[in-house]
Amino acid sequence: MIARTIVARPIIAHMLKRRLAGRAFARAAALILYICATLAALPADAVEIRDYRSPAGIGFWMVEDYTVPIVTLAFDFRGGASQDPEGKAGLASLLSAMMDEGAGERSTAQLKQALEERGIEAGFSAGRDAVSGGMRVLAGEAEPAYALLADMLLRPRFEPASLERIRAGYIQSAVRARKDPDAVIRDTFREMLFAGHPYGRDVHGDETTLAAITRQDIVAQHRRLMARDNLVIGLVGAVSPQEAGRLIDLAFAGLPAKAELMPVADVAPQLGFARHIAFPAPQASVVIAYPGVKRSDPDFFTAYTMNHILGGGTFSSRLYDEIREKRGLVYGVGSDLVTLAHAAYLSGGFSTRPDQAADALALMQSEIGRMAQEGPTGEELEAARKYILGAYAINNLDTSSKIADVLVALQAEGLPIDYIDRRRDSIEAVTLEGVRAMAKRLLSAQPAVITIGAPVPPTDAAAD
Amino acid sequence: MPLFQRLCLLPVLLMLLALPAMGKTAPDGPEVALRTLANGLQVVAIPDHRAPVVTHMVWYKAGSADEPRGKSGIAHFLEHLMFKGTKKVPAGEFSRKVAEIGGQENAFTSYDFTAYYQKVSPDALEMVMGYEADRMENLVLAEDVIETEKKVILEERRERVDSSPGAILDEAADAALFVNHPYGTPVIGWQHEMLALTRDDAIAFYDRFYSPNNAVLVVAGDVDPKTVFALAEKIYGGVTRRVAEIDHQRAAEPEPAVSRSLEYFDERVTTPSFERTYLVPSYMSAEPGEAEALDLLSAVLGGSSSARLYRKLVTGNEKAISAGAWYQGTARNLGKFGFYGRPRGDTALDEIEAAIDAEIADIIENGVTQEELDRQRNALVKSVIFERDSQTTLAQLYGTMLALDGTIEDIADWPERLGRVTVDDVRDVARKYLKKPRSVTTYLRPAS
Repeated sequence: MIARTIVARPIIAHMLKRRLAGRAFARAAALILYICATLAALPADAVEIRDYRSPAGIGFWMVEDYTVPIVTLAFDFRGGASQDPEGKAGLASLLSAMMDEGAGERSTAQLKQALEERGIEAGFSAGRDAVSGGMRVLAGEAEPAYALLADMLLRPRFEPASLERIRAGYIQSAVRARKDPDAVIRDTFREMLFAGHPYGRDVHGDETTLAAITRQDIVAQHRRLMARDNLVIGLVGAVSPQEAGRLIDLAFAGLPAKAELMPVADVAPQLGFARHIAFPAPQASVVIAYPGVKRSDPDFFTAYTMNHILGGGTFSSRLYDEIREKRGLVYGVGSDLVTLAHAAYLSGGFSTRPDQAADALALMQSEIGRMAQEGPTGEELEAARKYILGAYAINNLDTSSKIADVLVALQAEGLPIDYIDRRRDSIEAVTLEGVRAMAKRLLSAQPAVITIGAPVPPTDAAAD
Repeated sequence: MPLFQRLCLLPVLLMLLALPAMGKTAPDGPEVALRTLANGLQVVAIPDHRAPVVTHMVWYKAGSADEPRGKSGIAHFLEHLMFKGTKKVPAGEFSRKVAEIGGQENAFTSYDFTAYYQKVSPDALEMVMGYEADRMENLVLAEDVIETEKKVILEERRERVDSSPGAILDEAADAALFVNHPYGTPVIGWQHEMLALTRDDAIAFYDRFYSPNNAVLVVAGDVDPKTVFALAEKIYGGVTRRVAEIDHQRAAEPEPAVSRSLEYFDERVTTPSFERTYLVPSYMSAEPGEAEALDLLSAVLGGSSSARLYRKLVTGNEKAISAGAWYQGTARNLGKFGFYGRPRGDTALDEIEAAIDAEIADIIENGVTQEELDRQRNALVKSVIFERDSQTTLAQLYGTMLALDGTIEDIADWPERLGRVTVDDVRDVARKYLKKPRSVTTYLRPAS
């Protein structure tokens, strides 16, 4: 999927890892929490998921496992950045960043020290459709950890000095992003595909919207977004369900019963245009988008399988083969079926030396065209099916954090707890005719093509 | 690759790239077993039966620091070329077999080692072992794959280095810090030397270092050690020892005498930033206890938001958006100790530097408190337990340690050795190593 990487800067990565401990992922990574978690399902033989209710009536899914003496929690408040008011993009994200800036009796410094002393990893992040949180703690420290989490969730201090510090950092990042071609193309992509919809706004805001956010806004959004009726919880680890229910109540029972969410409309991304952004850089980048299929669509796995053959997987997709393996035009290339709560699309992309960009894009479009016309071969379908069946446990079940994320994703998608067997059946039910029809349906559409780089105009094919 | 997909991989990459502060395992840690085969291959088994997944890794004790002068990038180029087939197996077959069962695979290169891995279901372990053992001795490189793959690594360099002002400056900083040792040469290689790399260069590196007696096999996950050792014997036991004696001789670094500073202006930079890096010993080269003290020194100074630099510069006088310190001690020869800071608002970079200098001077003069030391030590020791939650992290940890010629005891003893570090030890390593002549300072600034 990625390319063979180098470990050129291990130490920087180490710093990053520490800064991003727990689920407090990088600004950018937070955006895609859901995209990563779209294909949620569990092989029956791997882990045993159980559905419980706490004494206070809070539902949670859990995997009880005493192998390692830790307790890992993941949770989502559905809503997220798509609930940011007009002109205040970045509110949910700032709120997330403020959650561990002082709580209850503790100042920012005291809270961070209390977490560190007990070896508690805790973090919050905002995505388009949810504010997510997570906590990983040694089993012996669970009691004080969940008490601290309760402070953060129920009694956050949102200290003004912290707000100004965090806002300053966000604004620096927003300014920096305008000089970063990857960020510029990502922003353009989002704004053009979802113009007029909350998905068109930056989850982390820009200088203007960030400057407009007040502490009052954060207090109000905390009240609106963090409630019991939009909460989903996954818990994994060395604790009994009874004890888990008690801990969950300790942290979450004091939340308001109901969130105050604005309705968000389903949206079809705007496609059928080509846009070039002149931007001098060592590499040109290309992003291309086609219609997608939502997670709730009965044909989801047909589309997923088609994309896997086109540009998914590891070192084996058509795009990887033609553009990297045979011609060496890029380091990484692929495509993704992206599913959000209210939209779906299929997108692909790559970066390359500017003078190669037109050739690489023409190749990509020719491969997409071939898929639209002919679909995959029977062998390709069989290999893809095996990959998709086998990859789930390998990609999602080898750590408590990943399993906890899966438990949350399944509930957020409204999937049943015995989804596993159905998933296997769904994949086995994918037919060659189905994939061919899906390829034709999605990939015959006029795409959105966005290119950025030194002045190499898009090819005729792209401009059509 | 689409932007989203690339971002999705970030946590995975971090996990792969991030070498934990140092080897560690809790007293009640995983039951790690080690054997050495007759051909010299070290085999490590780390059982973890929570999920039907195994991580299979082969580490070669050969990285960019082992390259001949003038051939920078050959270790990494060879890593890419290792996917191009063998006498018995056509190019792409191994990757196809892994993909067919939903497995993950990849490889990475560093200064001291190169590693290849697959994550698969336990019943596929024998299959991936077969392919990995085969390419340990049977690599075949056709001339036409060389030029195509060279284009790929040149794109990789453009993506990783040329596209990032910070990476451009980091590369220059390493070149300045290491005046003689090959750690001053980037792992990916200098572009002009990458352009000139040949098939013969790759084969020469392969023939010099890819041999079972210069390799470590790590198998972590849902398989018991007995099975691991039996399969290893059966499959890797027949691989020929192709090199009698492995030579890790590298040009040594002279005692640093002159502090260096570098300034880089780039139009893509919007906020300036400051970094200072000192030459220090690594875990493998330090006097007993020094590396552990350096790890704790970095934690007290700047490893978290309750550390000194963050409290002084970020939440305290509010001059910085970020500030911290780090120690990179996992290296065969030399380590690095670094500081960084990024100003907030219109604070000048000089002010950040002066504030960091003041913290360094304070520690050299007054040392650290027992309370700080204990708090940071506890946090490090607790983090050891979290590592057991990931078979990939454990495989990475043990692979790294053994690839540096360390032992599994080094990992097991780490918490205990941390426990012996005193406040005086921490002050002493600060005094001994945080001396300006040992350092390179960099200023990254917007082009005006």
